[in-house]
Amino acid sequence: MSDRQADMSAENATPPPLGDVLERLMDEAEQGRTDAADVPVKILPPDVPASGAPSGGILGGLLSNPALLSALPQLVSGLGTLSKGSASADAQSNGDTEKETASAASVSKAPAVFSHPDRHTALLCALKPYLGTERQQAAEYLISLCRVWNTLQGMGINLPALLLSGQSGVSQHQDKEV
Amino acid sequence: MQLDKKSLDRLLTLSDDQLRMVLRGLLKEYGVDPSAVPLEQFDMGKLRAVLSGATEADIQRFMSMLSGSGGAGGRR
Repeated sequence: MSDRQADMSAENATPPPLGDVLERLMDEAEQGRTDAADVPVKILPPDVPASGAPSGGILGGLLSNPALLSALPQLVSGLGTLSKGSASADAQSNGDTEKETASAASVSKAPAVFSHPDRHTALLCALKPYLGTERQQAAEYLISLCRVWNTLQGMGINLPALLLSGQSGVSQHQDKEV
Repeated sequence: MQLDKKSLDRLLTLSDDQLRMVLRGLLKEYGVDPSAVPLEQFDMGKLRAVLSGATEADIQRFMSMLSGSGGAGGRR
């Protein structure tokens, strides 16, 4: 099987259960492997080719900024801006544009708290067919981030609260470098 | 194999660097570029506090939300 066919089959394959993945990763971490070469890396969203954006594509710059990371709930709730801009740029100008603008405006006013976690994902999925290629990739990336965010919020893990403030946080298990 | 309290407890025995390694691997596994997430700036102590307080019911709720949103994991 060629590499391309292997990649395609890997891409279409069902992801392994989280428990299995976690067990394997913990085994590798305990054995001190720094590079889990055997982990099948899923095909990531392609980098934006012409702009020269860093690895991670459009959202790489956003996520590398802790201030923006802490503002992520507001960013995601402001998806109305994304949908509004995309609707005007990519969709045909017809009566639906006004509806999209109105719904986008209502979404932008939605509270940052994920009281209805599937709404944002559903909105992105609904808008995707009307978006250009780059924005579709951005939407797909946002959808995957929303899933991770929602599940962590459901566990009570507030990601911005985990960020160290002034590097003052000290973990009891912090390795001491000699 | 499902995620359970035992797995979480084992996760808590790892050092900060090992924990970051696991998180990095999870991100890669599910299609997120690890370099885009500032794991080095995460307070692992706070994460441990949250994970140590998680019950089996919390884990089951997490898994059902994850599978309900289309993510991977859980019983097949």
